[in-house]
Amino acid sequence: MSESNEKKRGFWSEMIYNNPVFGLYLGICSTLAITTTLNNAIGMGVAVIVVLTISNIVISLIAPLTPDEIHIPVYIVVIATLVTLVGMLMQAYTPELYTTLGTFIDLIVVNCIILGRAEAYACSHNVAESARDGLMMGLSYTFSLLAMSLIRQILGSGVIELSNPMTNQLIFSLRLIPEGFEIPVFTTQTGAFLTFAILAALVSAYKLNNEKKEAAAAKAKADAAKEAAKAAAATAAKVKEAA
Amino acid sequence: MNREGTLYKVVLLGVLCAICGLLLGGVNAVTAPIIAEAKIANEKVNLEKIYPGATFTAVEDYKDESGMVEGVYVAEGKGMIYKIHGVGYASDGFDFLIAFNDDGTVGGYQVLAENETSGFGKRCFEDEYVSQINALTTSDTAPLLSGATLTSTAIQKGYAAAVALFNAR
Repeated sequence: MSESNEKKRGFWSEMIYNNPVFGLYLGICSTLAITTTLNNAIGMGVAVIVVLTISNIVISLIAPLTPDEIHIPVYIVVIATLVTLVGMLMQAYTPELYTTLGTFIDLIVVNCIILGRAEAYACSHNVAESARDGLMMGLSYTFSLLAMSLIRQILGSGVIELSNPMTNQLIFSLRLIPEGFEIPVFTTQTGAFLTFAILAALVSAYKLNNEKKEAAAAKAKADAAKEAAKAAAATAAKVKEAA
Repeated sequence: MNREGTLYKVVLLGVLCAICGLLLGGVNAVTAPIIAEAKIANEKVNLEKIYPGATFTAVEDYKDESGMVEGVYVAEGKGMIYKIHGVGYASDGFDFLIAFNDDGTVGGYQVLAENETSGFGKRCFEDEYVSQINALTTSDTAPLLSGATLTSTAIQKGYAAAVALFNAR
């Protein structure tokens, strides 16, 4: 995928193409585990956005100082520190959320997205680019979590609800499926895998379709350019003849 | 310094770890009291009934052999409070707090949740029995109540478990 193609695709397209969960298949473990409610998804998403953005910034700053042999330990120290900080802050200010997300907050340390972006992007790009990459990757991870948790919560419990993580007060709650018609399997791990598979297939289908379209457009453009060149040559010949 | 040399790598990692350690220490200093506060937030209302206005902290590393103790709290400068879960007549049991002042006398006895039979088990949470408990020290055992044997036996065991923890502290 060329850089110019990526730029052409724009924000939403980029969210889908470079989506860490459904596009690059990174960080799936936590995605499957915590997407039972909207609240969990938002909490985890925000934690990952914060860690990923700051880690990308810090790593792009210290990358020039770091010899190749020790870059993994250096990145891990940075990431582990950030995750622990976020964990402590969450435990202090959003204790309920921290209890439900539990170990998955600590496990952000080994979330492939974070180390993956540090290795693949932040260490070879400048601070602004790395920050943007961290933010975008975090956003598209959150976007995936939201999609998964919305589907699972609505189908599994029939209710869509959101509560304030600081006070645990319900902000809104809306029943979309009448009681007794929910599909409880979606709240279990089986439901997580099902939802993941369907979404991944959809994303993949979209990508294939789009790639075909892009290839066709590129071909058409190339053909048009050829035609134009031919026409130009013909006019040039005519002009020459006339002269 | 030679960037490929071992010394450079050691120094770099050392400095990085030191910075991270400082950061973690700083944030921990800010968040630790808030976390401790949040942990006892649910219990605080009940703890306040025994020692009003005291500063409470939860004790995490206690060794309870009876399996009845659900929480241990220090009321700074006043005493210790133990949260006990006992099973009497009702199968889902009952919860109560028993507090010992620092001098070993009972500082308070407070029932939190119970579903015992009125006129029988429930008498263990009424004034007469409560005043008996309040007059005890850590060298006593909690009295049994005839007609409420199951409930008062559970209280007696819970009391003993709390005494054991108080003596072992």
